[in-house]
Amino acid sequence: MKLFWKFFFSTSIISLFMFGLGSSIMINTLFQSSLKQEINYSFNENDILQTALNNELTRIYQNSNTSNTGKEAVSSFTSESADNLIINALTQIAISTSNGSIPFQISNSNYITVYTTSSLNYDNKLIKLLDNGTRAYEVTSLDNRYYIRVACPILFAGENYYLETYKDITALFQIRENQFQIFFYSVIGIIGFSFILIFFVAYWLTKPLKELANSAIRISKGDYDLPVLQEGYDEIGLLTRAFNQMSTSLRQTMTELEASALRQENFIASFAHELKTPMTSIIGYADMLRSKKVSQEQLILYSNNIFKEGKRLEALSFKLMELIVLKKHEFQMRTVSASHFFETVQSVITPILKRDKIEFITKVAEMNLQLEPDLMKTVCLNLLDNARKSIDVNGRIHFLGNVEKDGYCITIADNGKGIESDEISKITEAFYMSDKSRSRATGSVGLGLTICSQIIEIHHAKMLIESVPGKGTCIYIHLKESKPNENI
Amino acid sequence: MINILIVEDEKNISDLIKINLMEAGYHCVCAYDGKQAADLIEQNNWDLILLDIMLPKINGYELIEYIKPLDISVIFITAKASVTDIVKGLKLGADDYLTKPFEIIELLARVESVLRRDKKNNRILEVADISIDTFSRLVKRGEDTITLTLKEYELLLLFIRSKNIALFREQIYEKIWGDDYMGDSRTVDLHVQRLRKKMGWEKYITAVYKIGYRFEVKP
Repeated sequence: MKLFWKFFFSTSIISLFMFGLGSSIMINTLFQSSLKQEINYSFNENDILQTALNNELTRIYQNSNTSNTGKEAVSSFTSESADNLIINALTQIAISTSNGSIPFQISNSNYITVYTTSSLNYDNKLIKLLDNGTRAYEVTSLDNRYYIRVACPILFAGENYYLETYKDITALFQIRENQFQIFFYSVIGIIGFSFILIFFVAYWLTKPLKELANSAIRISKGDYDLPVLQEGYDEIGLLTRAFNQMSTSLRQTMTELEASALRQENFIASFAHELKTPMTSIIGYADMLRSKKVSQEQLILYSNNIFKEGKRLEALSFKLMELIVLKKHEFQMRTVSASHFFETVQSVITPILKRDKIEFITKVAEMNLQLEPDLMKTVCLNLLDNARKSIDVNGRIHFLGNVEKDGYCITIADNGKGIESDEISKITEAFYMSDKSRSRATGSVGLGLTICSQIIEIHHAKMLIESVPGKGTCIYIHLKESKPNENI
Repeated sequence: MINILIVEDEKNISDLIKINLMEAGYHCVCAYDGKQAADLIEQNNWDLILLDIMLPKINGYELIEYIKPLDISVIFITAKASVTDIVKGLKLGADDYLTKPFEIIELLARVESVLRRDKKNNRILEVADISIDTFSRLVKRGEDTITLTLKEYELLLLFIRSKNIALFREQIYEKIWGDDYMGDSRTVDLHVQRLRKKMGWEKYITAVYKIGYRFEVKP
């Protein structure tokens, strides 16, 4: 069931129930109080009638007593004559109210009606239940009309008579009926009105939900570039905000995943290429050696090719191992003095630079560094070696250490041929070689800077490359100051 | 003479291809990057270009766009071996696709088949004292026709294409019968011996000890 219908049904059922309950309580209370009033009236009428009747009967009784002797009189009063006396008396009584005369009837002790002013036929159940000296009433209906019937006993000449008065209260019931009818029509009106009202309210409430649902469907279909949804301040607004956050973070995650998948794919493609190239030579030359008659000179040439390419594969596998170790292994950082670290690097690189007649300038500011010395040495040697390779003649390499306000900066600057600006972002990519043939000739496999950037990452450091083609390259390694003995 | 341009940045591989194609009787020129290749394509007439994809300066995909209007056959020789790469290469207009690493006889066979499709090969192959009409599949010595079965004919062509190359039994089996060599099969020996006998080529097709056979003719 749709939320709209749920909302509609629950709201209409609740409102109808409450309205119905309230209305019927009100109608009934009104009716009951009116009825009570009517009953009081009836009792009053009954009282009046009873008093009048009693007076009349007492007068008649005294008259007859004066005309006869006491004992005779009493004994001469048979039930029949008493009945007749009452009937005589009653014909003289007429009590009028504003609604005309009050209808009444008299029954004798045998519950037989002896006199009546109304044309209505009633049973005598009520007077049968009546005790001496009590009054009773009941509400009865006869011929679609409602009456209050009040009964009281009258003692006359030692006989019990019963006086019953009636009051027509059909109007009261009609009012109640009218009220119920009004109630019924208003219920229909309320249903109609609430339908329209709830329709708009539900539409207004469920509109953001629908938008959310549509967005969720689009996301599930792989469309992550969604516009940000409008956020309200209610619970749905909270949901929308949460949804927006979710879709934003999802989008980020997807972009990252795509990027990493692309990197992975590129890595594998490059790796396959780097693997297959030496393999092609090895297999090809070996194939020639095994299937052709070759001269001694060719034999040496071909096997040398196989050997060189084999070496290249070896270098590639070692570098890859190094990279894998860097990714998997956890390294312990140590405190090393900057001067000591620079000295160890210098001692390795100086002879090579001297051989190539490259001027080497070092300047170290003292500071205690937190690093893995062997790894950082690899980085520096790699970068220095790259600097060396980029230099043709009159080379100069600066190797500097400076204290910065939140760490330490190692700078390696050369005056070599530099890097094209569009290549700078690519040079740390695995297997990227700016000058393939020259790199291959020097035995490079294109993983050096990848390893360097991996090590830099392990140190939570930053590597910045600035280069002007033809002028030289400058590489900054920003080491952050970290607390001693921190495991990274 | 058929002119083949080899575009490959790796000198060892380039040399390998060149040596083998030269020995098979083609004329070869090597280009080591895309730009050099483009210049050479412009300057000379080529029957076939062997093209690497990952090239410095201009890559193979860009280069083939340039070659296509010139109506020169192209075989990609590349380390990119995934189906999508192969499909991409062929869709761009390559005539064939050879993935690295490759065997020499495969290289020769593909070059031969592309040239045959272009009808740039000689219709009549003349080897030793035999002439072969590759269209009508007729093998003749002088005026006498030599009747060969289908497998024998294919075997003959394989030997002629692989002059002076020792063919291993498994290579022969795989090329002619198309199945994986199960070892120890006498099929190859039986067919080679029958072919030798029919052609009278006992001195040309020589057995190589423990390996297979070699078709020896002076270049």
